[in-house]
Amino acid sequence: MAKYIGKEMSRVDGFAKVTGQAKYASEYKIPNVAYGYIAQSEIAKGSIKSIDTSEAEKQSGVLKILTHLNCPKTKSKDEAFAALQSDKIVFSGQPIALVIAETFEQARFAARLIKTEYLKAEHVTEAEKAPTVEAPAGFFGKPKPRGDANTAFEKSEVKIEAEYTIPIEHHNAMEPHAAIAMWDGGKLMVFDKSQGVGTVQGHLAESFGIPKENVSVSSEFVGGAFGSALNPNYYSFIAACAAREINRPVKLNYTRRQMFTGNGYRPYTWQKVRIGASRDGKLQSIIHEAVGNTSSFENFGENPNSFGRTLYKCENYDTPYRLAKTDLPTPTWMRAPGAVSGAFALESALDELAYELNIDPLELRMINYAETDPETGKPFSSKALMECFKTGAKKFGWEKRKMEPRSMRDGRWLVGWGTATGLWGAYQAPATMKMTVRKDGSVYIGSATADIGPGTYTVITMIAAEYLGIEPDKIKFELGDTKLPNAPMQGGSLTVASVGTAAHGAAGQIKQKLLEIVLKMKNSPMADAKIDDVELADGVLRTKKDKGNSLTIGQILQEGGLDEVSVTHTSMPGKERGQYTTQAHGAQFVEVKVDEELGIIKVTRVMEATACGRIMNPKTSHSQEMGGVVGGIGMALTEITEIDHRYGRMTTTDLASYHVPSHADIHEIETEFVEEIDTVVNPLGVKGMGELCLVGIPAAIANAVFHATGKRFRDLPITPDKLI
Amino acid sequence: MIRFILNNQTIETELPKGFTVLDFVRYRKNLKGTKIGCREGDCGACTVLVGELIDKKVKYRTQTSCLMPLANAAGKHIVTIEGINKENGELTEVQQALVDESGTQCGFCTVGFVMSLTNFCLDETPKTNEMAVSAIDGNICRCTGYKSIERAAMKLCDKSEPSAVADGLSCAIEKEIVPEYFKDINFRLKVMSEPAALNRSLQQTVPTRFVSGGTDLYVQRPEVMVHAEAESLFDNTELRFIKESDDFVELGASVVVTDLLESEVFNRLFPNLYKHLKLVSSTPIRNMATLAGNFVNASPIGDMTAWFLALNAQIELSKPPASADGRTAQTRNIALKDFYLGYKQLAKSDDEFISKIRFRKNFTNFNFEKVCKRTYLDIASVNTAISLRSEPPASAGGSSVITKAHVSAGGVAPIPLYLRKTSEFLRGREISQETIAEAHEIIQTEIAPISDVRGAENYKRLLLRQLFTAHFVELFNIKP
Ligand SMILES: Cc1cc2nc3c(=O)[nH]c(=O)nc-3n(C[C@H](O)[C@H](O)[C@H](O)COP(=O)(O)OP(=O)(O)OC[C@H]3O[C@@H](n4cnc5c(N)ncnc54)[C@H](O)[C@@H]3O)c2cc1C
Ligand code: FES
Ligand code: FES
Repeated sequence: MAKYIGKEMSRVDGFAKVTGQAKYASEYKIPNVAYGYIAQSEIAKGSIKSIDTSEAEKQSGVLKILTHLNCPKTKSKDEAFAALQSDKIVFSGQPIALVIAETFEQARFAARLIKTEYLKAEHVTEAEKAPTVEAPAGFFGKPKPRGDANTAFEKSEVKIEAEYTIPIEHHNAMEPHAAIAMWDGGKLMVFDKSQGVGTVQGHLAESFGIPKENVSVSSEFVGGAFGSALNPNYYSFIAACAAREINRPVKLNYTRRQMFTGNGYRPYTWQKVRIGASRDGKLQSIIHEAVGNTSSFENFGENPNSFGRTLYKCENYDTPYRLAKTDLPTPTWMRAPGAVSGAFALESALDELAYELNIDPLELRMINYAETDPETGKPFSSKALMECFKTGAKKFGWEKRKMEPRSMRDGRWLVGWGTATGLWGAYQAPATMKMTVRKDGSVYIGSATADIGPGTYTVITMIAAEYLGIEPDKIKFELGDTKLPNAPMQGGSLTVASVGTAAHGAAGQIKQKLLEIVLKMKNSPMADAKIDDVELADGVLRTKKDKGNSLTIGQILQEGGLDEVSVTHTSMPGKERGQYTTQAHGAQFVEVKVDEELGIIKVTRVMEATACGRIMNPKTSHSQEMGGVVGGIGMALTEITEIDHRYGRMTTTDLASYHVPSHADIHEIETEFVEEIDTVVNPLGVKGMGELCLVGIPAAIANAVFHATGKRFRDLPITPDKLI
Repeated sequence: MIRFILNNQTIETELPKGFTVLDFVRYRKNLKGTKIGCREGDCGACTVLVGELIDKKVKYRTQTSCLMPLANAAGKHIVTIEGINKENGELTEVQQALVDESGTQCGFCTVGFVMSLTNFCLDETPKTNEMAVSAIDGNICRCTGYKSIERAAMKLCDKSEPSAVADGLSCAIEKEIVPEYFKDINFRLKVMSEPAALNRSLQQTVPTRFVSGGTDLYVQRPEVMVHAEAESLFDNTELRFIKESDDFVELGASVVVTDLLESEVFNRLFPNLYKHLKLVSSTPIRNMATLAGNFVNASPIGDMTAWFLALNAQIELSKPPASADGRTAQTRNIALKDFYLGYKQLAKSDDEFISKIRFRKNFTNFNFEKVCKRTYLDIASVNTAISLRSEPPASAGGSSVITKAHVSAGGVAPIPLYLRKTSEFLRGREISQETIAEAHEIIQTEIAPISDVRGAENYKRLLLRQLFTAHFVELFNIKP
C-alpha cells in the first residue's frame, strides 16, 4: 500500500508562492545590474535602411545601444531566429535594437527615440495566400498513408467533407519571459525562464562558440510557459551579448506585447477532413489534410492531423500536411500541440458524421473503438477509454440528451450537449537524478528538469519519499539548473514518467547500497537478504517478512562509517515499451448555453473523464486538468491573435484584447480519473496528463454549440459576432 | 516630496510623482513579491492594497500598482505581500486556503490573488460566495482554471462570519489576516496627512495635463507619464463627493466607479447598480477609474460615459486658479452630450478640468447594457444606456407614455454617442412594440460604426438593435 503516491498532497512550493518569495527569472538581486529594452521593427519584411540611435544615446542613464551594426554575431548554425544579426527584416515586431540603461524606465524611454528607415518589401502574412512546402518529419517520422484512402472514400456509402480553421493563439503565460545574463571572464551565467535549462545552455554555448561547461543556466521557478519556453528564445542571447559589451550584468524583460513576437505561438491551421463511412457508422476512410503556417526562415511542424490515426479503427487513413511560409515569427509548441488542433477538426467532423447517420455521437465513437493500435497492430499497454466514455457519460447524464439540435432549452437559453475524445502519447525520455540520503534522515535530490506549474517539485518529492520511506518534508528537491544532472525539457507531458522513474531508480540504488552495508555487518540482522526481500519504509531498512527486523538509515550509515550515501541514477525508457503502443486517453462532455440574440455562449458544465495511468497526486492533478479544460474553453470561444494583414502586424497584443478566459467565463467543471494499471509504460505506471486534458475540449464545445443552435462552427474561436 | 507608508515603513521620496508604485516597490525597494504580468491593468498580478483615511477610519481598496502614480499614494498606506506575510513563518488564512485548495500552480498570479482576497477579508462587504468571487474579478490565472482558487475564496467566506462589534479591519487583525502593525496605521496616516495635503490642492504651476486614476494614461503612454508634469486630481477632496438635493445629484469629478457602488444614493436611484457596474472593468480598476477620466479619455465605448450621457448629465469645467489662495477662478457648465466634437476632440481647453457632474433625478427607469467578447474584464463591443420617465410610471403590462427619454450608445461612432433623434422620438410615445420598432429605424440612421477588432460594422448595428430591445425587455418585459 502506497504511503504517499496516490494521496492528496499540497504543493511543497506552496509556501514560497503564496508569500511572494518564489523567485522568477528576473527577480534575482544582482549588484550593478543594467536593464535592457527591445525596440522592434514596424514593418514585416524588407531591410533596415538606416537606424539612428544618436538621440537615444544622449538620454540620461543610457549605457549602450546594440543594433545589427554592432551586436556580436552568433556562431550558431541553427536556422532559428537570432536577433540583431543583419539588416534583414523577416517579421513585424522583430528586435532591431537593444537599449541598455541604468534603469528600466530610462531604457524604455530611450527606445522610443530610435529613428529607423526601412526598405519595405511585399509581405505575406495570410497563410491562405502564402507559398506552401512539405512539412518536415516530426519526432516520430512522417506518417505514411494507410491503405488506399481515396478509393475507400469514393466507395463509401456516407461521405462527410468539411474545412476547419484555427487562428494563431498565444501561450500568454502570466510571467513575461525574462533573463539576467552575466559574465565572469569567459564564463556565462544566465537566469532564464525556461522549460529546459539544458537546451538554453547548449544554445548559448553554440551561439558564443564556447564550451558548454562555461555556460550555466538557472530557472528555479517558472511562471507558466505552456511551450513558450521549450525552445530557447532570442532574448537570452542578446542579453548575454549586452552583458559582455558593457561588462555588467544585464536584465532583459519582455513586455506583454513583446511576448507576441518573442516566443512563438500556436500556428494558424487550416484542415480539411473527409470521412467515408458505412451506414451503420463504421469508418471506411479518413483523409485529414492540414496546412499550418510557419515563418519564412524556419519550418515548424506539429503534425496536427496525425491525431486520429491511432484513435479509431479505420483501415484507410491519409494525412497530408504542408506548411505555409508566412512573414511572421516562427510558431512553436503550445500546450497539446498538434493534437488539440487536429482533434478540433476530426472530432467535429465525427460529430457531423453522427448527424448525417443519425447515430448518437458517443455511440459512433464506441462503434469505431480501436482495441489495438490501428496503425501498427500492436496492443495498447493500457487503454481505459471505453471506461472513460461510460463513466463520463453517466456522470454527465448523457443518456438524457435529445439528438435533435435546438431541442433543449433553459428559459431563453438554448442548451447544447457535445462530446469529443482526447488522446496524447505516454512518452518517456532518459533522465538522471542525483540522490543523497544523510545520516540525520534528510534527503537531497536534484535533476535539471523544470516545474512550470504542474507540481513537479511536489510529485517528484512524493515519489522519492515513497521509495525511500522517508517523509516528504525531509526531502529537498532542486531542479532547473544546469549544475544538476540532465533531464528532458518539461514538454510533451513526460516529466513524471521520466524524472519520476529516475527518482524511483535512484531510490532503488540507495536501498541497494544500504543493504550492502548491512550485509557486511558482523552478525548482520539481514544476512542473506536479497534486494527484493527488504524495503525502505518509515525511515528504516527492514525485511519484508519481519518488519520488526529493521535498522534506521542513521544506524546503517553509522555502521558503514558514512555521513551520507549518494547515487546518480539514469533511467531509460523500458525495452518492453517497444512491443506496445503507449497512450493516454480521455472523454469530454460539455454543456453550453447560448443566447442567440446577443451571441453569448456560456460553457456551463464540463465533465472530463481521463485515463492516464496512475494518479500520483489527485490534488495537483485535478487542478492541472481544470487548467487544461479552461485553456480549451479559451481556444473555443475567445482566444485569437488578430493580424492586420495590410501591415503584417499582430494587433491583439495585450491581455485586454487577447482574451484568455477570466474567472467569470468559467462555470462547473468536473474532472474524473479512470485509473489504469500499466506495468509497461514505466515502473511507476504513470502517463502524462497536462496536455491530454485540453485535447478534445474545443471540439466538444463546438459540437455542443451545434447541438444548441443547429449551426456548425468550423472556424475558431466562436465569438458573438459569428453567432448572431 | 511624496510621503506615504509602505507596509510598515514610512517613505519619503523625491522621485517624480509620475513614477509608478509598481516600479517603486520592485526596483527601489526590492520588494519582488508584487509581480508584473502586463503593466496595463489587465492581469492583477501587481495588485496592492491602498489604505486611505476616510471619516477617521482607514479604508482599504485594491489597486493595480502598475497604473498607479506615486502622486496617488501620497498620504496613504500601500501594502504589498511583504506587508502581509507573518513574521513567524506561518501562513495567513488567505494564504493557507490557497495552498490547501491547490490554488497556486506556477504561482505567478498568486500574490495578486492573495492581495485581492486579503482585501475581501478586510472589507466590510458581506462575506458571501458571490462577493468573494467578485473580489478576484481583476485577477487572471492561466494555470489553475480558477476552480481551485474559487474554492479557496469560498473557504474564507465560511470562516469570516461578520462580527457585530468590530469593523472588518479589526477583525482581520485579530484573525491575523493582516499583521498587528495595521493597528497603528490610522494614527500614522493622521499625523502624516498634513504635509501631504499640500500635494492635493490645485495651486502649483498651471498644469497642461491632468491625471486622475491613471488607468487610461498609464496604459497609453507609460514612458511619458513618469516624467510628465501632470497634476493629480485623484485625491483632491473637493472633487470626491456625492451629494443629493431635491432635484439633482451632484458628484465630484474624481469619484471612482466603486464610490458609486458603495453610495446609498446610487443604490437607491439605480436598483440594478451592482449588476450593471460589475460589467465595468474589474475591482481594482473600478477603485481607480474616475468619472472624469472616463469622460475625457473619450473612448467611444466608455461605459461611464454612456451611463451619464443617458442621464443627460451636465459637467462643470474649471480652470486652476492663478494664485495659490484664489478660489477656482473660472467655471462653466456644459452638457456632456455637447462635450464630444469628434474623435478624441473635446469642447474644452487644455487647462480646463472637469470639477463636477450633475444630473436630474426625474427619471423613473434606467437601464445599462453591454456586450463584450469575454464575460467580464473586457472593453465593450457595444454598450448602451437609457433613462426614461414614464407616466403613469410603467409597470409590466400597463400602458404608459414616455415623457422624458435619453438614450446613449457606445462603440457605434467615433465618439460616445447621445442618440438625439431617438431620444426625441421616444418622448410622448407609448411604451409599445411599435415604438421600439420605429426607434430601431431611427437608431440605425444615427450611428456610424466601423469594423474593427471588436466586431464588424453589421455586427455592431445588429448588436445595438438587440441591446436596445434588451432595455425594454429588462424594464417593461416587452418583447419585439
Ligand atoms: C484593465 C482596464 C479595464 C478597463 N475597463 C474599462 C471598462 O470596462 N469600461 C470603461 O469605460 N473603461 C474601462 N477602462 C478605461 C479606464 O479605466 C476608464 O476610462 C477610467 O474611467 C479612466 O479614469 P482615470 O481616472 O483612470 O483616468 P486617467 O488615466 O487619470 O485620465 C484619463 C484622461 O482623462 C484626463 N482627466 C482625468 N481627470 C480629469 C479631470 N478631472 N478633468 C479633465 N481631464 C481629466 C486625463 O488627462 C487623461 O487624458 C479600463 C481600463 C483598464 C486599464
Ligand atoms: S501588471 Fe498586470 S495589472 Fe498590473
Ligand atoms: S498559477 Fe500560473 S497563472 Fe495562476
